[in-house]
Amino acid sequence: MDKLEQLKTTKADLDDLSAEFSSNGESEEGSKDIKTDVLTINFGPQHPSAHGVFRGVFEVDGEIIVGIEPHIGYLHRCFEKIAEHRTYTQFIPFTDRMDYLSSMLNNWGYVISVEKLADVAVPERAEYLRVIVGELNRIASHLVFLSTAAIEAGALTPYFYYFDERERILWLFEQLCGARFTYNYMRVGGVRVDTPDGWLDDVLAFTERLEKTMVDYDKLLLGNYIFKKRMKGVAPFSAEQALDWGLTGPSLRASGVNYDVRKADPYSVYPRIDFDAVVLCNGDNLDRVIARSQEIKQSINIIKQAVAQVPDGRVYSPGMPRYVTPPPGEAYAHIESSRGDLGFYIVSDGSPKPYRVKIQGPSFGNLQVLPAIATGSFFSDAVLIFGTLDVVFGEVDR
Amino acid sequence: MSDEVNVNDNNIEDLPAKGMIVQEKGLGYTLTVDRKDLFKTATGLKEAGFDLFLFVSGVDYPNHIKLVYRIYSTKRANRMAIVVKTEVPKRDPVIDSLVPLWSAANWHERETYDLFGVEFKGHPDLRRIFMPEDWVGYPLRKDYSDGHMLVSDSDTQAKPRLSVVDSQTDDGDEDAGDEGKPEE
Repeated sequence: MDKLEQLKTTKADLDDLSAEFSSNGESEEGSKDIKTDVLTINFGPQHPSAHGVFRGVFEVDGEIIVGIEPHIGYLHRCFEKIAEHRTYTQFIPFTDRMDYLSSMLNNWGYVISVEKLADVAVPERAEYLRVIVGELNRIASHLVFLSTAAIEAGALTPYFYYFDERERILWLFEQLCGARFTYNYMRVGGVRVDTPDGWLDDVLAFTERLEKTMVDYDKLLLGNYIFKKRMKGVAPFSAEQALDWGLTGPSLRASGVNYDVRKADPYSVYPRIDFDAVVLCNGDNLDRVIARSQEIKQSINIIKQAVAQVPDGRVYSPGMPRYVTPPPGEAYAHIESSRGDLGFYIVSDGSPKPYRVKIQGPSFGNLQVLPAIATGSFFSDAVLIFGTLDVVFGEVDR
Repeated sequence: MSDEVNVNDNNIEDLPAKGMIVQEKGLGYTLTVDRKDLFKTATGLKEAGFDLFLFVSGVDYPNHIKLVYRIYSTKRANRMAIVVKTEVPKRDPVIDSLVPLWSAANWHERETYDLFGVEFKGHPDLRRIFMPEDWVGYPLRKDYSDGHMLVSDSDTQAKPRLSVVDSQTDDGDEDAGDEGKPEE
């Protein structure tokens, strides 16, 4: 943690930065006459740094952003309407395609809500497998975050290392369920298949490897002077602002609010596992990056404990009907996805299809922060700020 | 599965309309209010420490739209969430906006307006958010149909739905009910 302390932005650094740049010529004699105009710049929807299809209309005054008008909906498929025409099980593959970087967690959020609605018990082994694959998927997602954050700051090297590690996770998932990306692994009442022989040993070997390599990668990225200089003190967001705008997930915790669903509203077997929610204090770009890097370490910790505790037994609740038919009623359950608080609110009318499924995707709530967080920053930092919010457009638009 | 909230009931003593807060199965603490009291109740909740607005959404019924809000408190000692429910009639779907209390409500209310046609009075920028601005109709209403929707009712003996009209297309030539058919 000592290293972390060194990386933190101090108040003095921020003052330096603002003194250096924000005066913007106005206070200097003779430059008062320079007339500046607000310029409108279009960003996207087809832009390599847009993490999907995002269009933002930026208003810039010189180099400073004075306003952003986000336009979303390019990927809108109205999954909530589709859900009303599918059985409960048929809808599981659709959740894969929401936040496609953490499909396992999306599966999990959905099935846990249906299980709550239908009052289905899940075998213990299945709960542990869910924790293991969920945390592996969180690591994979954060690795993508770190590599894209590096690329957006102009550093291409870390990308290859992070993607190498992510590739190992995808290989593990392929061994487990046959798919590298859209897993469709969880079922109401358990998981689809048990692990292949030796899979848990492979997971353990991977976590041990990653634990060592993450130390090097942190040096490579977070120890890089240019990267730190580029990220430190950029777009700081206070805890009050973050709560007011409904930010969730690692970005909220980077602003100093301790809200992690795994701790605040424990589900599955998390109460039996010893881990920490990563809470930082500055809420600037650098803290949002450090939060992900630290969460990977916590996830490794969780996986190790879960692999040690996982019992034998069945992975699917016996006697589950072909069509899950919950009694009339409604339920809401949520999990900590890699992007924040992912919740499903489901209303049943007693038929084999849901009457209403509301998907509370964290990316949607996190993206609406963008105008508030980026106004006042440099236009050249816009993509970095957008990147550190870590949104996936499959989930924003659903 | 864990309980939604596991706190003592006496922890809700300081909340507005505490007599009406019930523990609903599947939802936890739930408060049902009349639509004209919503803003007042929400103000009381905000003052009582509910600082994180998570979502608002609707459920379409034949004659009314039920609105469901979920608000969380990171400040209160018991760190609880509360679900607030209210109803708007379909012929006059208007309700007070909560954006003055929580900025986070902004996009969620726009989404509900876009997909359900609920008008949020006092919203600073009430426009469609997913659908194009000139779109006609509200897609998540049960009687909505644009003539291109896949309907797969054949492989399940679905019981009668709550709403009378289910968007049935005229041609009906869509392949029905391929279970888990991958999209790609």
